[in-house]
Amino acid sequence: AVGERKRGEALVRAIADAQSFSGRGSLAQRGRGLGDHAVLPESRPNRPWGKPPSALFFISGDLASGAGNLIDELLRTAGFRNAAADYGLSFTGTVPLETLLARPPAVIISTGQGRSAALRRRLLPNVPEAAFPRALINCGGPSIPPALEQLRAIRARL
Amino acid sequence: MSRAGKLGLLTFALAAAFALALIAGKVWVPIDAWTSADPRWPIIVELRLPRALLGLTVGAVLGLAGAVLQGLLRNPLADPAVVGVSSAAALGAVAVLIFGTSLGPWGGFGGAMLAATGAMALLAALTWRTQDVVSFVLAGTVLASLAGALTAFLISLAPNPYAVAAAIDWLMGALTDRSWDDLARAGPFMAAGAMLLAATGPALDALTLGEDTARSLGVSTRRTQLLAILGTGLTVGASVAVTGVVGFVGLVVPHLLRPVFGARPSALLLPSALGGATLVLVADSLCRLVPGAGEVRLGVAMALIGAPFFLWLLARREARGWN
Repeated sequence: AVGERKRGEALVRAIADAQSFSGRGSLAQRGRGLGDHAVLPESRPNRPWGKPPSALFFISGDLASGAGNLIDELLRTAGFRNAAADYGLSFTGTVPLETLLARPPAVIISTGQGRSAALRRRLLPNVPEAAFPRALINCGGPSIPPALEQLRAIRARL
Repeated sequence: MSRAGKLGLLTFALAAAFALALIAGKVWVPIDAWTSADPRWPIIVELRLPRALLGLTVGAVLGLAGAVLQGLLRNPLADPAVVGVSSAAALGAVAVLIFGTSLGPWGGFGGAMLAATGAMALLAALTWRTQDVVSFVLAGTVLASLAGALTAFLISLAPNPYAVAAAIDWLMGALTDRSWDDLARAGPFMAAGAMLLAATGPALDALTLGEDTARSLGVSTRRTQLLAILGTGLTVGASVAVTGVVGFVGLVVPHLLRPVFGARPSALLLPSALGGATLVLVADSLCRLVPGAGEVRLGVAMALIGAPFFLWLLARREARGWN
């Protein structure tokens, strides 16, 4: 949709609306003009209940992503901590179950069945798992608002 | 030192490596956690123990297959990869990883075993007429190249980048997060194959005198070759089906142990199995110990350990010869 400036601005507004918290520079301001890299704000400031719960997001199979990418920002915006970043994952990679068992996340969000999913469920019966449509995180853009909505819903259920 | 003494020493090294495999990792699990109600208990029982047992069996069959193939082909370059079975098994597993993700945990294993069996049958058929080891090696090498090319082709057809990542990750070989189920799936095939391989011992000794002499001693080259193909197919096929491709073990271990146990092929089979198991367990423990969230892939670690070692052997060979 090159040249569709109005539709582009509407999209940016939709993304900004999706992040319900106001406060510091909203995405609509920072991301005005689609050439800019969309940067979502850090998680809610002055959280009354302390550290946000950690979420391990499997983008596919057993693959998770560390800090500094769209999923990481989405998680933080939705009020989570990215467990993969806590574990020290620098890019996208697998997290061994040993690491998970030693420091289980508050929730596991997955887009499908990984090779070790069955074993993981057996070893971590108390960690809730939420399904997430992979189409929403294949890249940024129009899918950001529904992705954030889904993550917030998961967050609310914890 | 007597042979029994050397074998005892090797067994002790294996036991030590096994203990290390249970204790070492991102989470160190001390011995006292074994008796108390330690929260790290599931790490041992559900993760470390099946993984260590799988590493032990995979290492043992790879070492054994390497020793048998080096004896059969009377070629120090032989290792399970030359038979083409590991590449074929990898092809089968990648095909399922990319196109058959809905097949469940048995899918990948079945795909790899099916492809390994196919490669075995093809190799047996190709080499049935000739009793010449050169055609055996050539046929295996061609099969390996074909399977490698087809694997790359399949990866290029992957529907999404995640499937590519999964396939490549799997090709590097790892014991990470393998469960009792994996061991139960692969174990029987590896055990059956190991028995076939072990049965080649006497024939391999006779073959050191040359094919004609061996035949005059009543050794059937064809039968030995078939045993080696079936044994390698079952052991390596099953091991690739659960761990991915782990190279170098079958090549390096017999070379390492030949100066210690002598050049007689049958005398090298058991030590190579013990040595292979030890090597894989130590390498896998190192894989778990690297800093960071993830683990180094076992296939990569094996190559990093195996290649320099092999080059060192090669340099030493100038002075001492292969035996």
